[in-house]
Amino acid sequence: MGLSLALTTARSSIQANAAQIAVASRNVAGASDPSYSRKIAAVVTLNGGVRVAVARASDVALYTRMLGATSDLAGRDAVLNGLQTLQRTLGTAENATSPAASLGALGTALHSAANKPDDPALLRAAVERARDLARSLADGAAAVQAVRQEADGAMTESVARINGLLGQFDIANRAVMTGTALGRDVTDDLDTRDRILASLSEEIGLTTQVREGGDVAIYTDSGLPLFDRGPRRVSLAPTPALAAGVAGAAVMIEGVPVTGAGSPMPLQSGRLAGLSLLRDKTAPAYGAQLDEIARGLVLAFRERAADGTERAGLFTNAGSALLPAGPPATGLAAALRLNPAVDPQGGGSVDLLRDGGMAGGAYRSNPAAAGSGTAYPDRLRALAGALAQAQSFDPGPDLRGTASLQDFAASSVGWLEARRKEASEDSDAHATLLSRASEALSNATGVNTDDETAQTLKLEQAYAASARLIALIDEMLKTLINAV
Amino acid sequence: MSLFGVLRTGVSGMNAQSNRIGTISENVQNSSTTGYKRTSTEFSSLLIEGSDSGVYNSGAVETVLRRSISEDGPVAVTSSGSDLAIQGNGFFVVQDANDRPYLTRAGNFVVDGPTGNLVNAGGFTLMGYSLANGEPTPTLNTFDGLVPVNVTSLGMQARATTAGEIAGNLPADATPVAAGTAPPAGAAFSKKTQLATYDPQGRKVLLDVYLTKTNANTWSASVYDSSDTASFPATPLGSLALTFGADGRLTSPGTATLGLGGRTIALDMSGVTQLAAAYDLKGQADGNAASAVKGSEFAADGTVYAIYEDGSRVAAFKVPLGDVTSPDNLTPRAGNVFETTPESGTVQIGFATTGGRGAIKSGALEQSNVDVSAELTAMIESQTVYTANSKVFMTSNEMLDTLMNLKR
Repeated sequence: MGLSLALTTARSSIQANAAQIAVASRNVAGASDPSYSRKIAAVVTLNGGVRVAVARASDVALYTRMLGATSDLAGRDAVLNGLQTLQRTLGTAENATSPAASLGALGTALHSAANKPDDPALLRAAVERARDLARSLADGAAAVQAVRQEADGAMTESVARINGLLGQFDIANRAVMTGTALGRDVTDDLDTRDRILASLSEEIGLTTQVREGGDVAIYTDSGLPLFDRGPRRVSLAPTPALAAGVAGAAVMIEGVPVTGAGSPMPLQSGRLAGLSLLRDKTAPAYGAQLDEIARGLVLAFRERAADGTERAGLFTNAGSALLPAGPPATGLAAALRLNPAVDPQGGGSVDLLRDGGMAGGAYRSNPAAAGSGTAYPDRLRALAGALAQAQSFDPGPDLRGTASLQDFAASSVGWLEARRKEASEDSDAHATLLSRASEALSNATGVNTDDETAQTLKLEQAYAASARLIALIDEMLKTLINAV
Repeated sequence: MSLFGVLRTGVSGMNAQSNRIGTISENVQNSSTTGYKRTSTEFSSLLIEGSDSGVYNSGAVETVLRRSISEDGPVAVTSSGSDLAIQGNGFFVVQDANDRPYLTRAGNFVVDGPTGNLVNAGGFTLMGYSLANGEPTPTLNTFDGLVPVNVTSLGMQARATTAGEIAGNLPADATPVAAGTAPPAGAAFSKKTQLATYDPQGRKVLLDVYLTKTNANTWSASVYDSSDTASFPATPLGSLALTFGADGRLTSPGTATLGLGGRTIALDMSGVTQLAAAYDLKGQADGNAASAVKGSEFAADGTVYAIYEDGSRVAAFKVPLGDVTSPDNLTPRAGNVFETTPESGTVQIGFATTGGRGAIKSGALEQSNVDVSAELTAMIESQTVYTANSKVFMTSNEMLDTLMNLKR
């Protein structure tokens, strides 16, 4: 079998070379696809012949790190985006429309009016500043609600995307399992599955478990099964209108809440976790601070009767004469109104700001009789003083509990800025981590075109050698046939 | 007498060489036929005995055909999974259209459309034992019990879950729930996981596993059918109390039996630990959903696996290899098949890789063991010998002519 065997072997060598060249060209074609992993053509000798088995470069540890970094970054980005939106709407302490700046303007106006208490123009100016302040707080509360509502919408979208991706994963996973069982080249299916997994990790933090036969199960980073021989149901009841200070509906995976305070297995990372944090914690915390400023304002401007009864003064809770309950005074910032008795737009008299008695004659504090036209600055001075006086707030863990209204408003703005800065730095740090992880993964599993070129040159030489061998055997056989 | 004898001897020599040329031409013609075995010619002399000294009566030559059936051909790789080659001794058992059994080495099988059987290029159907009723016990010297290998005839199948396993870590720092509120008494739980299982009809049954920390080092696991929401928390399918030692390892038995409407699932949680780390339980169960056959795979021992759509593989057939004591004495029949003869011995049926039989290689074919160059050199040799024999004949004929011419 000498010459025939040599011919067969040379032929199988050429076939193996061709298969290897095909793999190399696949690698070059996929070089610019970030989810493509390098394919490796392994040559297996088989008494006399050779066979090419295709595998792919993979690094489970690096890939897991990349998935984790993707989830971490997506969660932080979601929080950062919300905080940036809030800050853009409310502005900083220097911005004239921010609650802190409006509060400062009101204090100045009250001082001016106290210096010339008989000038109705100055009183009117003070009332207008008060109106600006009420509007600024209401705008702030509305911005908080808008950010939360937007986060809720984004969570609904994220849940829909997760369900869609899990459906795709099911198909890809099945393709891998069937291909593995049939002994086919499943490397492209594996790439597809990894790509879906990478998209999924943006939405939700996850861990994976590789099983027999190429099967993969996905668990959330809190340990709940997300995909186990089939996708699990992820659901979120949409909230059409979120109430201020009330957490939205929790995301459920097979009946277990995975977001919110009551969750036994809360998600740690991913866009969904970030959005939930923004919707139910960060934004409401800022909303609560605005409510506290509003409550402080109502209390600072309250009026007291001779018998000790207290009523709302310049600022009211939606026009009510009663003082707001609290803390917490949820929703007060949005409901803060000027007292109609002092509001010229509501037919009121600005003199009441100076004299008191918005809640009725019994609450009048100026000694001069009503309508006498005699003006005393004492009440105006007292009101301006109240703004600078320390009072107690229910600030949440990050602010001081006892401060003047002015300081509290300023530190609230500072708090928001600090949170944003923190989130931004956090996000930058995780973006760096992700780019490192991706780079490491790409170095381990990506395509190096230089390498591929060198490889093809080597293959070309081997191909030429095999072809030369075939020509040689052919010549020998010809010699023999000519001898017949 | 002797001159006439020489004429006969020359003719016999020429006949022998034409036989040889015949086998060579057949070998060359089948030099690329899968599973073809080379035929060669051997000669033996026939002498006329009892001749007196001084007188020589030339004999004749007898042709004996030898087949190199036991000699393996080179194996070539193909891209079809149903191409089979035997590496080592043995033959596939095949049958023709009239259900007559034969042996062959030609493994170029393809699935025949109308029947679904595996049929080779010669039109012979591959035979094997069905594994539907468990591992077969082949009768050594008969073809009884062999059926055509037909993977497509297998219907859809589902396998019910019989065993499940949960392993991983329960967080040691979790807060125990209030006494009396753990399932089945109450609905309080610390963690929850799920197991995907299948009922005998292949329906997916999700089992909710509620894990409740009841005390510093004890947890309870209660399993419910996720679709039967009314059963939670009062009527679990099964419960398991997990007690951990100071080192976080399980000290209580970690297995439980879950009863699901007449069938049981053995749940194994002995791999669970309680360490001061994050919750990380992962579980899996056997069984599979109803799915149809998507393909087949041949193992080296001849087992034919049916590959189902969901990737599960089930051993469906086992292809035996037939062997005889003297393979070279088998009689070839058209289509690269062989029949047993009294000289070859009776066929012995057994499985690949056992009893000296070779291994079955999928995605490969055994080439013909003919070497064209050897055949061509034999042809040249044969031609020369044929010419020499014809010269003997001619010379003896001329001598007879001379003798005839003596008489005018």
